[in-house]
Amino acid sequence: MTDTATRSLTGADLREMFRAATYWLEQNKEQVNAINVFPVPDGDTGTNMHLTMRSTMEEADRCADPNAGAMLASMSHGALMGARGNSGVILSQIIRGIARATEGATDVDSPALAAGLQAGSDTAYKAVTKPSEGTILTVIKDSAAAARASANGDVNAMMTAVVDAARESVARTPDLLPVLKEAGVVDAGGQGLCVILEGMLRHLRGEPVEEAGGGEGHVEQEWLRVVEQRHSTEASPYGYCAEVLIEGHDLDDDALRERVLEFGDSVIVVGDERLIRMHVHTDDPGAVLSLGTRVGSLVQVKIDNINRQAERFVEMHHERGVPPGAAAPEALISSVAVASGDGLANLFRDVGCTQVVSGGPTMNPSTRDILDAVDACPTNHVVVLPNDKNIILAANQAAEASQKSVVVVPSRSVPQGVAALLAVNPEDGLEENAQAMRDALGSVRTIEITRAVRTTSIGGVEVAEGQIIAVVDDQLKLATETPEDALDRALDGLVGDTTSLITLYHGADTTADQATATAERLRERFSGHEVEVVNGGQPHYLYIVSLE
Amino acid sequence: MSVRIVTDSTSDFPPHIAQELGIAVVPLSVIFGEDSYKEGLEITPDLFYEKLARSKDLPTTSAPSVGDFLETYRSVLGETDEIVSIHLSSKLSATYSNACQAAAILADEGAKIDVIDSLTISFGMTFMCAAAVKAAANGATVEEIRQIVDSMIPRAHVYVALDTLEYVRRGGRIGRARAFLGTVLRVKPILSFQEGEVHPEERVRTRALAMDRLFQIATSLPNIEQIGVAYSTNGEEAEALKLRIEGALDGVEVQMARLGPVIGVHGGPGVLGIGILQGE
Repeated sequence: MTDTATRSLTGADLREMFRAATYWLEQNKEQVNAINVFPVPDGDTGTNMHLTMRSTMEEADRCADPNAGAMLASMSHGALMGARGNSGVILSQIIRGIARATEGATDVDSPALAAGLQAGSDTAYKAVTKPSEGTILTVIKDSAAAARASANGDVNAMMTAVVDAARESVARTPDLLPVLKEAGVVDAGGQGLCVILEGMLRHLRGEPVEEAGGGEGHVEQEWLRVVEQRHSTEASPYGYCAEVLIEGHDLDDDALRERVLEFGDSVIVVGDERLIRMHVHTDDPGAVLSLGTRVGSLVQVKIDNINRQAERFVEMHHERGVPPGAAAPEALISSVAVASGDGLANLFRDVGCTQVVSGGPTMNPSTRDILDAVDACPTNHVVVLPNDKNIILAANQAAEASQKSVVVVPSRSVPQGVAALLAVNPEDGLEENAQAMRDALGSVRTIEITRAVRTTSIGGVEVAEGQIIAVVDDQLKLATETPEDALDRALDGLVGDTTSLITLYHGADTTADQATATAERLRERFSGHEVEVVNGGQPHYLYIVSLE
Repeated sequence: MSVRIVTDSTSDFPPHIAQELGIAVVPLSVIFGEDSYKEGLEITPDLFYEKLARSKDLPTTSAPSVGDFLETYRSVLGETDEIVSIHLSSKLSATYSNACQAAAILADEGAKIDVIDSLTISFGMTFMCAAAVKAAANGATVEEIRQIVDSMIPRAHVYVALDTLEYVRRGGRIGRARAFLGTVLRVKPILSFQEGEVHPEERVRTRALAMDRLFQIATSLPNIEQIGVAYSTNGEEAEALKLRIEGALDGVEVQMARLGPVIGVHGGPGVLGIGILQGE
């Protein structure tokens, strides 16, 4: 490969550069997942960042404007909407900063790109309440500084310097963040960003970045072309256009196509054994979703009214519409909660939640998922409960993007979310309720029992992959061999005079009998306390326990 | 001859106080299967809650009949021809409506009976009846007493913390609180009476929090003139709450009452309530 100089990048150049970065991240995402410090099975950083990039590229492929500024604006929108997990949200803020700095540009040269990276760094820092060094933030800051120092005309040379700086910055993260040093890893979000920058550089140098599995990006492009063609040439007798992205194992596109053909017309099913995209015009979009959940997990869902969708494709722009259902609502506020598992979704609705967002494959919904739920609420005032520390930023981003008045009450667990919802007074307004809900967060303590997905050491606790771990209020407390033992030991010293109720939400991998037996033991151990069992059906977490 | 005051048994006057004040109490009834018991006369709270715990089927309640009212009114009319009759919320029971019918019948016979819908229960009515008795003793007319009681209705507040939702849900007197309460999680709802109906206030998950909230409500309302704590089965908790409120509100005496069987049917065991009368 020869390194030829690149003076500037057009919109199309940028799109292909970001596409290469997305491929490269996909190839390396497991490696990024593997260095997550927290050994819990949700919130995989590499997967979250990759899903964010994929949403970025979807919008890029919809952008018909050849100018660099317009392309970056589209990508920024895609990144913001698709952002999942904290690293994904910060990544989306970086892209947003770049887009803002290059607004209106026909193409970008190295000084413009350097200014963009700097703006990206600044924007990302602002998005976080308490920026922490030794994370993705430090890596973008160091990368931007290197970019500015070497923005001398050749984009390739500058990106070489940027990637070098990013690698060094990633290598330094354990010195800045003790928790990384103890676990013996570098920061996963920082590493993910580094991989993205490497992918860009490889593209500029003409080095291969094709991922195994046959070019999903080409699938995306081809997909958009075909779907658009169907919509512009076929008048559909059906009412809805349903489009879903399914992730799973051993998916069979031919078998799925057969099934989907029963639902309607304009059927397109493409993908491979891990990822399949389906499109169908139907009168029963619910059946399409059910089919999707039977074969895998739904990563993305789009249900559109056909007529509206036709307009959208003609216009090809992505401004957010007015919230549906403009009629005067009866209740003053609505609530949106993130919860995975049928039992938990049912529970949240039962205690008054208006919309429940499921977390998707990483249990981290995208900004768009949360935003759609907010828009589907009948009221203009909406409270969002993320119920996970890794979802709070995406929820904040959705709140900002929404045209409604949205308050995020930063619940970090299911028990906190339930406590907050119980504090809602349907006759009070948004601010009063948000305050009451925030106050309620402190009234419960949370124990989560799950299986470690990697071997690590954190806070002095040695964890081997596959062990059962107990996490108490976001702190890893212990690792052991059985869920029962983990729970028993996690409860040591936690159940005090002020505790009177222990609620066990048992997960999909815990049977009702096991949960009942566990509850019985707890009743014996803590006589005088109430112990309640709820079938949460949540994935990954054998038990979620609230103490109040 | 001064005006006499009549009420019903859901005012939760202890019998000796009612007698002392000269208040005639018309009983509602609780019905276990085939057996009907007049509250306060044929069944004591202790016996009732014991039966409730043992009974497989939920007992029901019934309002006093028009005939019951005629009987009470006639016995009182032997001593006076003017009565103010104060009853539990017409939105919860037929008691008020039956009293009105009896009053109309007796009006034809020349009696003057003013029936008042208190829009509340228990302590809310206790305050009103006591004020009415006092005014009557000072020679107030039926019209003057009605004015006094009417002016108290918006100032009388009742909050109850239930230990379980089961009874209120089965009993059907839940009104707008239904959607608020849910079915999956055990919650301890705090309910109030607003405009005569059961109104959802709050949902907490533990008894300790419910007690805290009742205490906070009791001490946060301005200008408290009278306050009482009522309970169904949990006298010790009620006593603790009373002492706590007295400690926080200097110089206010907290009254205490036992919730009768009729309220017990709908609230179940473990109900704790507070009644507050704000000053004008």
